[in-house]
Amino acid sequence: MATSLKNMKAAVLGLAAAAALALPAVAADDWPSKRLTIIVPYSAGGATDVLARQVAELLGNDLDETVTVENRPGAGATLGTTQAAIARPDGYTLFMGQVSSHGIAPAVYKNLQYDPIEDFSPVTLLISIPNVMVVNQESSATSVAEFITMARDGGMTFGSSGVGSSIHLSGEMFKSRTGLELTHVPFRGSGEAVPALLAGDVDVMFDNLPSAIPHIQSGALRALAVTTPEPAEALPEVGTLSESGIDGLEGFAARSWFGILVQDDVDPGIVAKLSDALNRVIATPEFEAFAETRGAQIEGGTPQAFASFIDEELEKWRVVVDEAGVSVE
Amino acid sequence: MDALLQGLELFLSVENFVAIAIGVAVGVIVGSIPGLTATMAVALALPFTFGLDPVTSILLLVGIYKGGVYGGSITAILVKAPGTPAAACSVLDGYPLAQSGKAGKALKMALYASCTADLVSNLALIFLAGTIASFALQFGAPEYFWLICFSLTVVISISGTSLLKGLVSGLLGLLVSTVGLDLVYGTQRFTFDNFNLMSGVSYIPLLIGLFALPEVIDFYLRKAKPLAVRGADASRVSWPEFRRCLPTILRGSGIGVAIGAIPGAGATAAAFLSYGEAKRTSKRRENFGKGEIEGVAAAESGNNGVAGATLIPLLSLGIPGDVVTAVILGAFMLHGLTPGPLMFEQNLDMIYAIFVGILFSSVVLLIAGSVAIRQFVRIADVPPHILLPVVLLFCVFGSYAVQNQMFDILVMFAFGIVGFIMMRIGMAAAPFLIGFILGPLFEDNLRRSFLISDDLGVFLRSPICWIFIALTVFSLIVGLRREYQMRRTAKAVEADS
Amino acid sequence: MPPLQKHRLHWRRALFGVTTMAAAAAFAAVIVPWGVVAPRSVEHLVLSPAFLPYVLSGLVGLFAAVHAVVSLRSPELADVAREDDAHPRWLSRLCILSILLCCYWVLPETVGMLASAIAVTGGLLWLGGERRWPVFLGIALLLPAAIYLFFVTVAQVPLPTGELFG
Repeated sequence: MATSLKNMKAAVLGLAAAAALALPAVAADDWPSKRLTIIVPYSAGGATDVLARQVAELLGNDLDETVTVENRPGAGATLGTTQAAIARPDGYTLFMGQVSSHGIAPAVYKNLQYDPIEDFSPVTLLISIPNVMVVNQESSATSVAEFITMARDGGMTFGSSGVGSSIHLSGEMFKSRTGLELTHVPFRGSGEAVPALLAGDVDVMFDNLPSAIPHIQSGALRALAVTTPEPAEALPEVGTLSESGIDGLEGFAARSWFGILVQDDVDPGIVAKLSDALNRVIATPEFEAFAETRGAQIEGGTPQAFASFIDEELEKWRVVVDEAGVSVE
Repeated sequence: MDALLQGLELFLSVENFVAIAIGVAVGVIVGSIPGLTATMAVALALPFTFGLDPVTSILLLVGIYKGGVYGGSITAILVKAPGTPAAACSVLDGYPLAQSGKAGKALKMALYASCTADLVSNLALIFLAGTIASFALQFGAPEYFWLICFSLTVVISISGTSLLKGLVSGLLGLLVSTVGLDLVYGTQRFTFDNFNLMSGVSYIPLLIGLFALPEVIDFYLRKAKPLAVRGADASRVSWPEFRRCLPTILRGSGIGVAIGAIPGAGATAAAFLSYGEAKRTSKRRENFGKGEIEGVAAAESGNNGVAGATLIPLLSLGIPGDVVTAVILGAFMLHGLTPGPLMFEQNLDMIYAIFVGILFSSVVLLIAGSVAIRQFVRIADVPPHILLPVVLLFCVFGSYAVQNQMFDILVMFAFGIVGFIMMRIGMAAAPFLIGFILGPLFEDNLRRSFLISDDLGVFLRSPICWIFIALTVFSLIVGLRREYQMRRTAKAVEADS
Repeated sequence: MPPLQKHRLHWRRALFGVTTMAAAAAFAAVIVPWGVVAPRSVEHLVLSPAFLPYVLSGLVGLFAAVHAVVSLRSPELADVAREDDAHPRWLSRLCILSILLCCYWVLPETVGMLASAIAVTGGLLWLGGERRWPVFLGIALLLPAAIYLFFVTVAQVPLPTGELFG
């Protein structure tokens, strides 16, 4: 299966490369001249999908072309990512990459059918979302240090939205950095995990900020720290794990992020044009308002910066996954 | 009181009425097409709400959701292809009714049951949200586990002619539900390195394959029958019939509200539970599964009772219980609103406006449903050799649409063959489906309970556990006794003749 | 029902029970160890990914055994009196039907979903005995085209366009 896909891809790439060689300049000048599609490897209605639809609308306005969203869910984002990787590299099929497809999944799945670096050309990092370490309001831990003291006695659990999610692996990273024994209790999505935390069935969770923030505001959950190196704009009074002063947690950085990528063989001129357009999109007031409601940080930047960001992410999650032993053979 | 008046003022605008009407209408149409679900429609409509008033956009989405939940029953009854998963239970009695020329009656009862349940659900949302939400939060893994055990006893009621075959069918459904990556360890189970199977067997293709496809295959392998021209179907639900079904509808609504308020359980479980309860207590239980109008009422009241109630954890706690409510939560956040206790303090007028709109949507549903039935009922008059190729077309397009994957078409065909074989050997398909749906919930919560606590006592930790253990045992004993008696009388009747 | 048939029926049921038992045993012995990757050490038996599959195949075997015993001991009457109304040429029709269904799986990637739908719908109409050409035109050509357009434009489902026309 893998070989036949590769062959097919090689054939497609060969054809495209020939076409690109013949008319390199025209390709970038004419672009875009037809409908663009953003492939989202998750179902309609999820966080990634909603972001993609917002980007699609604003990008459509900016480029004066229709931009549609195509949902290709399945197998923890790997199916859709594979399909994006083998799509025609003409700059009209974009991919909504995220921490799973270009961070965690390559470390977790040993036999992926795409290569996060070889098959893709990064365009622009759009937004990042911090994870936040939250406990129930009735927990006696009011700081990370207190939590760690309590957890030393054992028997503590942490909830997540599923094996291999950024929520799970943030917890695993915390475990391996602090040497604590925490039992992982997986749920199917944050929507199921948060009630368990509210009911006190799990002790802690490294939830994505947007799903946790209503409960932090209402006082039902207590935020101990955010997982990014800098404090989150939405929760300025909450410190970071990195600066909590606990041995092993310096430089702790775990977050969800979203960015647009295209196939590896897309004309560099198109990538540059697309990157400029996306940077304009995320600077619009509409997008800023959207990001604020989601507790997200707007990122932006050049394709090169995004490429080195992905390299770092891949390396970071590989270490965590190896230590936690959650890979799928 | 002031907030209530302000809420009314907020609600009374032309846009809101139009939004609800359009939403419900779109929902009914989308819901009736197999494979296109209310979830997809709500997600597709979300971008249109960017420019709308917050209340208007929420009402539009809620309207689509409610229309979609009802719409699924239409094709379930007419062509045995449930438009939405939750409508699968309506097939059991709705399709036999349609086959005997009473499609109109079945459709109308489905509509009345849906609207009644919807209204009950909305009232529960408005008056009992706080109480129900705190009750729902008491459902941890062990409580959930016993609830699912109780739900699984429904298999006894829906096993059809052979109880043992029904049990085997349910077990096979459970077995198929284990396909995919393991929840706790992330290891492969029956996926054999196929990435298409890693997130499990897709639900809607399985459902369509199991129910609709066997009818198609069967038709082509039988002797051509003289066309049974049924004529425009004018059968309707009489008042005594509705009154007879009313207790069932109200109980179904109650079950729907309870299940809907617990995040993650879903409308399908509610529909089957309601059906099982109705069959267990009905005086006409021998008739269930053969075209009993009460069965349609039970199934539809169960799944529509969920619709309003899923908004309870969303509005009062800010927790989305399923994918649709997660999208609606997204819509709230797009307008800078955060559902939860804070919203009740800060935007009470808006909450009231939404409540009034939701109440109004039940009425719109009744109107839109009546109009839809009048059009759809004509399908019953289309000769099968023309209808079935078109049904197959929808099945194929719909299966593909779920994940935009060709693989799902293969899944649909595979379970079509399974369903056809089951039909030939007299094994009921409904237990298979209920096993498949409840399987992950059963296993997840069993294992989660072990993760949360090392102590087996966790399974007996709360009164809710005890209540559901008692219900499970009661339901098993009564259900098995009833089945045994029914078989004995059936035998006696046959021996007499 | 004549006694001979009754006799055959309960043997058929016993056969069903025995076959199912054998299948369950084979499943537990071969498929589960092959298809389920279980971690080396598991805290509780219940936590193992293979736990439920083993329990389920055991239960299937158990119920099948009960079924076999019950049918041999107390031959019940027929479930449903099924009159034999199979089509005289059911085998060839089954072959045509299988081919048509396979078209839905094989063709869309090359010729597109629309062309496949038209071909299969037309084939099925013909198989169902429809010979009036206006009906053919309407149901096999216009209807799939309309439904296709609805899915692609309104519901925004990217149905395959096929490599030939993509």
